[in-house]
Amino acid sequence: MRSNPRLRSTAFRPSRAERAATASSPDARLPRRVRRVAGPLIAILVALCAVQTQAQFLPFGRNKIAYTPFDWHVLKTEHFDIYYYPEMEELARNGAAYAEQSYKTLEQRFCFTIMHRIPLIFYSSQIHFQQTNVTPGFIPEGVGGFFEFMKGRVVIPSMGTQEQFRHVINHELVHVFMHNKVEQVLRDHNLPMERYPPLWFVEGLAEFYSTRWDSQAEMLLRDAVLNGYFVPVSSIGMISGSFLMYKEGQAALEFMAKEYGPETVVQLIDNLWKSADFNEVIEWTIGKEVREFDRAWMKALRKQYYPLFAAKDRAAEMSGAVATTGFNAKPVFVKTGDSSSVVFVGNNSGYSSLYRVSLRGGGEPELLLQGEKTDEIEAFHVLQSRMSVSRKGLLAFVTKSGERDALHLFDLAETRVTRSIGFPGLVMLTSPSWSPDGARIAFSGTTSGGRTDLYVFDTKTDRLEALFADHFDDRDPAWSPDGRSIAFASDRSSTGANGRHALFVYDVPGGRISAITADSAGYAAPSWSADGRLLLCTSVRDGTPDVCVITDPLAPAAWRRLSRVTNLVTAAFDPVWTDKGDVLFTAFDTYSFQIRMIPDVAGRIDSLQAVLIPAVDTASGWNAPSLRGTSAMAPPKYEREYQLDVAQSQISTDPVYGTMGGAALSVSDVLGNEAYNFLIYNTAQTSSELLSSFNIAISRVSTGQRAPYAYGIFNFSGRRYDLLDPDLYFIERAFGGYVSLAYPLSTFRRLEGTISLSSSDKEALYEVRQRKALLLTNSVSYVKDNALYYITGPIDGNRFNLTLSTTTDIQYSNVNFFSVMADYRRYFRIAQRSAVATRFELLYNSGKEARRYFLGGSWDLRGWPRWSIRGTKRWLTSCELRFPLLDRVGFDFPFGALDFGVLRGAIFADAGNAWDDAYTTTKGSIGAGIRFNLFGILVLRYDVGKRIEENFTRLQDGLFYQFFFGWDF
Amino acid sequence: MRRLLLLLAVCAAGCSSTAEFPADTPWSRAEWPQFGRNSARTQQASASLQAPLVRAWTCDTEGGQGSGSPLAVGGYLFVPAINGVIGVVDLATGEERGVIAVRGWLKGTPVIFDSVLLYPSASAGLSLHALHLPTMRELWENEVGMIETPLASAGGRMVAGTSDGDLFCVSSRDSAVHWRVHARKAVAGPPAISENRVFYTTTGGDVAACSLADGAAIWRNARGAPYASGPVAGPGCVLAATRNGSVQCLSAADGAVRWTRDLNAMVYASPAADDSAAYVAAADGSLTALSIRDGSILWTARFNSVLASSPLLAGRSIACVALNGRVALLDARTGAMQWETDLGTRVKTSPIVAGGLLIICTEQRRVIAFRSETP
Repeated sequence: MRSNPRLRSTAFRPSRAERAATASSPDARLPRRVRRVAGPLIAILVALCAVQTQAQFLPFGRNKIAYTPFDWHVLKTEHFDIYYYPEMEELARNGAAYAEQSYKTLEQRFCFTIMHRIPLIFYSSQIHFQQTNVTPGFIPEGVGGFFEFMKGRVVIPSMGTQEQFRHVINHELVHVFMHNKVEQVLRDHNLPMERYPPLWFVEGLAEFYSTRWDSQAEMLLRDAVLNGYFVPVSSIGMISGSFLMYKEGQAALEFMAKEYGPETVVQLIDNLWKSADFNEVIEWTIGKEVREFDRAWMKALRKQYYPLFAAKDRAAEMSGAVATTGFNAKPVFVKTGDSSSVVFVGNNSGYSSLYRVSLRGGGEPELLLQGEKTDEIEAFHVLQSRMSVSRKGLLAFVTKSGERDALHLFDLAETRVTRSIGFPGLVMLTSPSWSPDGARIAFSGTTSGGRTDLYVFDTKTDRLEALFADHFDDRDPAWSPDGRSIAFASDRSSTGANGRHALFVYDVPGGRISAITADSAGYAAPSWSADGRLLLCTSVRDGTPDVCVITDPLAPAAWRRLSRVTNLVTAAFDPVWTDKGDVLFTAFDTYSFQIRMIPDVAGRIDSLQAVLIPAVDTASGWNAPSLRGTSAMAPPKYEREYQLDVAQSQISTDPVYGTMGGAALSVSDVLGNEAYNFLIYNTAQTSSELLSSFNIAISRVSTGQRAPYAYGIFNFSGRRYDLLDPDLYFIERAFGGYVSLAYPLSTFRRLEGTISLSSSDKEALYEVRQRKALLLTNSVSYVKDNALYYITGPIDGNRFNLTLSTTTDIQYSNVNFFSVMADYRRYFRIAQRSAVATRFELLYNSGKEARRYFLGGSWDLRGWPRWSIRGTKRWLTSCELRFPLLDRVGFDFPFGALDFGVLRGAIFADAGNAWDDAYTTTKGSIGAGIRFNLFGILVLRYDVGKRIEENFTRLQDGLFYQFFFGWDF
Repeated sequence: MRRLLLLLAVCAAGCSSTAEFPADTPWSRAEWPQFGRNSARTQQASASLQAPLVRAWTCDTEGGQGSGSPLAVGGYLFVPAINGVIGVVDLATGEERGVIAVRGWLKGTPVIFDSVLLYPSASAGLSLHALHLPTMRELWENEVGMIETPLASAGGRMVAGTSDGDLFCVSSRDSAVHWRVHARKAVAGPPAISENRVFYTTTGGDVAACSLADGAAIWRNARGAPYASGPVAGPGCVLAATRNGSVQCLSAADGAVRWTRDLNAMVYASPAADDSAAYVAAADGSLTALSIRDGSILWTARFNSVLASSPLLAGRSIACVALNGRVALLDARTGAMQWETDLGTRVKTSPIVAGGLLIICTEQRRVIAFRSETP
């Protein structure tokens, strides 16, 4: 990572700046190289949702909330400092063992050793992980861990299974070894870090060395090859950052190791110094041009996958479409009277939401409940959690809701949530399943210690019962029609140590567990038929999951039969029965998840291809490795040690303004919860001003608790040019301090307050006026933001900021003004990528020495010269139609291709003005423009239009043309 | 600070050499003039070491960060560095005597033949150079291909392999190319020379022998698994270890396999060998002594890090340095630990023994010499 992810503002309100920064897209803010996708399917969804946002302005932003007060401890092993909290001590010891095992393996593979201790920060669940302050950005569900280059910290959550935990630890440690080795190779050759390998190699290597080729990788690569969107290495930059890139990178390196020798993979790093072009490094290493490598690789893939067309089915060939717009998953069959429908989770609106579609009439899905916009329904665990409907039409589903998941009961008739339940001991919940009597709900829950077991919640008595408490991962419970059994998937068989789940059944009255399957075919998602004789599930038979059905699952093993319902080229998930014996399922095809239906499966059981279920494995589970650490003493509590985040200095010399210079540095602790920022700068123009021209600021920012706060002291002195100050250009010495506190009510809403006290001694340069003041400033704000971002700005949701503040000179009464700031923005989605955006804004300052606002330019009142309209009051309203113009702008030069991404269009109208005493005129503009996101970090905007002048009575002669940068409002 | 001043001096002099050698410097071939000490590359020092050892001196130079071991000839230590500098250190005192600026990336260890420094460079153009040390005059240079492995010198001839799979032999005196053969894959590590035969391994899994005189192939044994290190010419045999840890002893005469021993660990370094045993350092931290006669395991010692460099035989002791800087002296007959210390930094180069000192180059570009506590 070349940039520091923890740059902190030294502004007076750092907590707000911090959160505003974090409110932008987490995906964009996590350094690409450190991203690790542990929920691969979710990663695909992230791409499909196209909800990519970037930086935004300070007054808004979602909140990254440190809900849980973690009591951090440090477990020291031979090579690692492992940070964990006591609830997850057992898991941390498992992780310690995995990390040390991985270290030994990687040390040998890389022929490299790390000479410093590696900080590993463990979280017991994804929800806890999302609270980390090691990176200020939001962490979406698809990210399963990251390696932060600056301080070498590795942050990893447990994602449920021990195998996943081990995989992510391995993956991130590959990054650690690779990064350190790359650094060393480049340093040895006096080369800059700009020669860092491309992302496909970085992530592909991490996958190649950390996991085997699994069913999801197989599914994706098959789909890419057979549907023609496979991208060879020579142009893999086109899919940079996507999950497909991860898996193609892994596949490319596997092929390279197989064809050219396993040593070539690490030799690519050893040979980095040989060329600035990584493709040439490949050529140096394997003796073949990249295009030649691509040809060989693609030929091998085609030979491997093209025969599947003959041997297997496409989902569209053997099933009917139920929901095809956007992505759709987790179908639930609902029977209401004579009508049959399917409820599912989809993202057609851009937010993951609940939809319903009729099985008879078809048509457009009905939006039942929109997610990701309210405090209660923060996020669906889209591809992780199934849903269940009771006979009374109550849909049970889970979402993230604040500091933990909540179980919601949704009345399908009234289309409203009737009850939401959170369980204090359980952080995450998945896959609720109603008992047949509609009284109890079984679900999978993850404790704060990271254990995932089955629970039963009695909706009548509110009693929660844990069925198991062990280190095995139990998921996808399905209550049998007679209420006596709960089928579920678990890694508690002997194959579970490799991450393979088998099917089990829990005898409710007797409390016993017995295995239905125990082979290594990776079973999931059991679903009972109405008569309890057939159990649907998915099973990895030929590399990817297919729908299977087990006949007489509760009968003795010899009588059970497993039949394949699908034999897909790609993959199938989450099968459920309809009342007529059809099967609804989620199919993955052409990089999309869709809900499809196979008719009359129950009636054709005998004609389906039967597969022998191997004899039930009698081995009872497996033990996870555990490490106690190098000390015989109990691991000590975490004590903060500060390390440098950034240090920067500057010095300038000018014949008129003299020599100025200064430095800024920021330090923070390992967990990123506490930071100190220091600034010292001297603006003296003559030697006599030297002592009086020091600018010093020290601040502390604390984000380790739910209410982040900051405080600091400052002394600023020198000449100022301040557009907001009524004197504009002046000399001031101001010193004082401030305290800032925020309280996030939810991810979307927060309260903020700041108090500052400062002595201000000001001399206006133009008016030769002096003024002294002891300024006390108080401000409170209410902020809401649930906007959904697209390439150049928001396209859905709304944002609101109301700020009230007063500033009073409590000693000389030279300054006394109050401020009201109200800013409301709403975005009406009219199509997948189009929206009408509106903005209403009133900023009002009144009193002695009230600060002035400015207006004009591409950010607000378009067509008017930038910041040309000033006053202590301001209002502004805008309406803008945002729409896609070109989906790809690129140039293919003889020396290579330049891809600039998406071009979007806008048609807008603005009105507003800024004034001091009397309101005189209204100004406005109309026009159209194009917006262009440059490399995901900068939006360029070009507008053409006409100003509306003379109190909104006359259009400008000719046109204005305005080019600037900045995100859409 | 000394290193910084030295570098500044080098820069000020336009990256020219600053080392000077008296005309009467004894450029003996019996010391440590090339990688592995002798052309057979047995990693056998002429002197012994007596545990315990104490630090004799430490010198900051430019070398150590690559994989090239230093040379010790004429009372000087020559420490190659990747970035094209060879540090010259007084062997007795550890005083820096200047640097020799060379051309290109120096990936392989040079050799000193009489008073001529022959060095390879990892550049596609002129990649083989000869420098007359007393006068610091460049004698010749040759364009033979990118060389990333140490050179081997015997009988006035120099043999090396290139990254693109050529094995060549040139005259040490005038750079005349005697022969060149194509090895199909890159030559792994330096060749070994014994009894007018050149033995080499490749990343393609070949171990082969050819004539030093004309390069004519004598035998080739395709083992399948790639090699990451060069062979060692033992008594009537050739010892080589594949990257995946299969150690073979082949007949020097016809390449017939005498025995094979699988260590189940990756091997990145050539073994050391004497008349009775081969000593193999593996990436899993094991140092294994194998009987030359039948490949049986005589003893195994364990380190807590990768062994990426060859062990060193010094009398009855064997010295070994782990990648994490752990240095140990063991009894070569039993594997019993005699002395150990921790340098606290990565070490990728094999140690040498010269002037009664155990000399180790660290990745921090520091040369550390140990001597026996009891003289």
